[in-house]
Amino acid sequence: MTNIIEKTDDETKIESQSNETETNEIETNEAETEEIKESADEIVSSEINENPTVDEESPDDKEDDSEVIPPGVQLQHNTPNPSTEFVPPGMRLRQLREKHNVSVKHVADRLFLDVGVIEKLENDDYEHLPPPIFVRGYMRNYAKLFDIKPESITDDFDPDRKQPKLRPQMQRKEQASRQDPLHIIGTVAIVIISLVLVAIWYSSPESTPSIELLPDSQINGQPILPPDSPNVEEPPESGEGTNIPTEQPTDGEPASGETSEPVVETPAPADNDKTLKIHFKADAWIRVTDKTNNSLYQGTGKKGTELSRDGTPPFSLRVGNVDGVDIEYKGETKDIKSYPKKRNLFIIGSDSQ
Amino acid sequence: MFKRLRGVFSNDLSIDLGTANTLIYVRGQGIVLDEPSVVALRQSDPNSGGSKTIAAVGSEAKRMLGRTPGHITAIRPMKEGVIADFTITEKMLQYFIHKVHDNRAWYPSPSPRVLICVPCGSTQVERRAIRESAGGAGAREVYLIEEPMAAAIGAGMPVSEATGSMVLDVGGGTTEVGILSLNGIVYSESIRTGGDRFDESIISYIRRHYSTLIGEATAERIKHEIGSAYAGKELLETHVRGRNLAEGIPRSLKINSKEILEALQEPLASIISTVKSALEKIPPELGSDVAEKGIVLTGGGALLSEFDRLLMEETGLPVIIADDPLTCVARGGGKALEMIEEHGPGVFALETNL
Repeated sequence: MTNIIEKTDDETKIESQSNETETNEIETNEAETEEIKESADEIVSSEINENPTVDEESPDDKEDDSEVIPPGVQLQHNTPNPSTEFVPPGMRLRQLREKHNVSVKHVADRLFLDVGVIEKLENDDYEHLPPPIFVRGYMRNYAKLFDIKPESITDDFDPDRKQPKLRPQMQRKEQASRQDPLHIIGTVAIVIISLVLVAIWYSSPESTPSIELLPDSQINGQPILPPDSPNVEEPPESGEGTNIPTEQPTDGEPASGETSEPVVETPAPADNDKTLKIHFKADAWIRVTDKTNNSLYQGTGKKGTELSRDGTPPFSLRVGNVDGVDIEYKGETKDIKSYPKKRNLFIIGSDSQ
Repeated sequence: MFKRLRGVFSNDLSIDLGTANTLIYVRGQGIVLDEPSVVALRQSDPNSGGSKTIAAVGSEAKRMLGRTPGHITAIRPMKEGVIADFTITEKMLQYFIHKVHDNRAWYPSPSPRVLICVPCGSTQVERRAIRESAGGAGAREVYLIEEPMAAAIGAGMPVSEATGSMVLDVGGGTTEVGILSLNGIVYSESIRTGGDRFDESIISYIRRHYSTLIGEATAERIKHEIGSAYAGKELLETHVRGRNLAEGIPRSLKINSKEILEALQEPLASIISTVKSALEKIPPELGSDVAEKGIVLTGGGALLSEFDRLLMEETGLPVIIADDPLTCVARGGGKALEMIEEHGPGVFALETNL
């Protein structure tokens, strides 16, 4: 910074003072550049070739000096408030170069860059230059050429050090894979749903077709639904025939077949209905259970004997020797085979015989 | 599944497992470790060849190089960019990774995802060795990235764009030249010449011309102080002490930068020829991109004074030195990791776990 201010002072002096001093200045500057070039080019084999170019360049430099005036003017504008002024790095490089009386061409040759690049660099026109890393590199090399600390220049350039953005080549369409979130969510959902279904399956009543349940379903739902349920009472209800109305009052005028199922059952059959008599025509093993699954009898009946049991109909009978058993129920005696059979069980007292 | 769980608490690491230095970059924290790749082993009972234990790792071990008593050996497990001693490398990596993770020790042994830079010329066997070393050192997942790629990313070159970028990474053991475009390597070449070779050249030069033997550490010091790749403005001198071969007694001698330049001619020439042949072999379009913008120099070799000038004069192309050339590779690896995090490992055609 101090350098620049001194320099600007120098330039203002040059411009204000007589030609004599100016030429002196230029001479000293030239001497400096000579030194630098010589030291830098010391070992280059083409040193001899380069020397004439240096000589040639001195007139160029003078031309440059004439061009230089605009920045000088700018500087004069800037000098009134030196505390706040910010000289962009490119301009400082230009000042540096002019101080040493070196042409753009020479700098470009030394840095192996195009003249255009150097000019853009000096004009701080970074838009048309390569990414920041290169610009910083050029500045560093430029500064090294004049033996000043590269950091003094590069620190002012792009202080946030932004880097070119890395990006993938194209927005790749992802190939479907097991890792896709959608797939995972879908799989999990399917598993959960199937688990829920299985849970529902197991918690629901095991054996829907069993007889015990039928009354339940009848209680809950419409009486028409279960076709196996006691049809004895129902036809009258639905049919509203002429004979039965007498019975209906006894049914308790049910709001109706819903709550009164047991009521319907009990009054009509009376005591007669509750007793089951088994006549053994031959020895036969038998098990008798009633509606509540109460075991009423289990054992082998001898030929010619009789067994009487009370319980809530319907009765379920499992019989070893089917031919040897007759059933007396509601005063009627029948062969057991005439009763309906479900899963090896004879059902007595549920259906109309 | 368990590995993934452990990884939740762990940071991703980018490791530049170099011949000279190992650098570790942690995502979000920057470079957290920069140590020489040297391990010192202590032999518990030298007479009966007892078990070996690690005495020191990193800079502490480096100071021991060439100065160890009988029961301690200081070795550099990496030679010319690849693993020379598998077990020791694994131990060293383990030590470094542990050291990086040590600061935050409330959870047990985390297993980081690790990206390691390998020389582009390394063989499948060498890569596998590095991968397994890292796996043995506790990495959950290992990615390998080629060094020129990492160096270019770290230097901030526009590797994602459809323009050629040329990077020259002069490391301790290898020199890598790569031309990159569109996140990939168009051409790369790796030669086993690097900072170590410079040191060796200096040693043999001094031995030949002064009949004096100097150690590697001294040679390295000479290189740092007065080493130069191109005849500079001023002549630098330094004093060196070494054992005079004729007398067998340590003597002091004075060496100047011109002599060192002469000593370095051979390795420098091989680097130059590699660069030239790379420029020869790339498609002309990329060549013109490189000529327009220039070659970027990274790695420790970039610090050799006037190396950029030498390259400029030899190739006639602009050459620039990256910012902070020593850490370019590790930083680039870190950025690559971030990319992987964001876009998946397909971005850089990395090698992932087999």
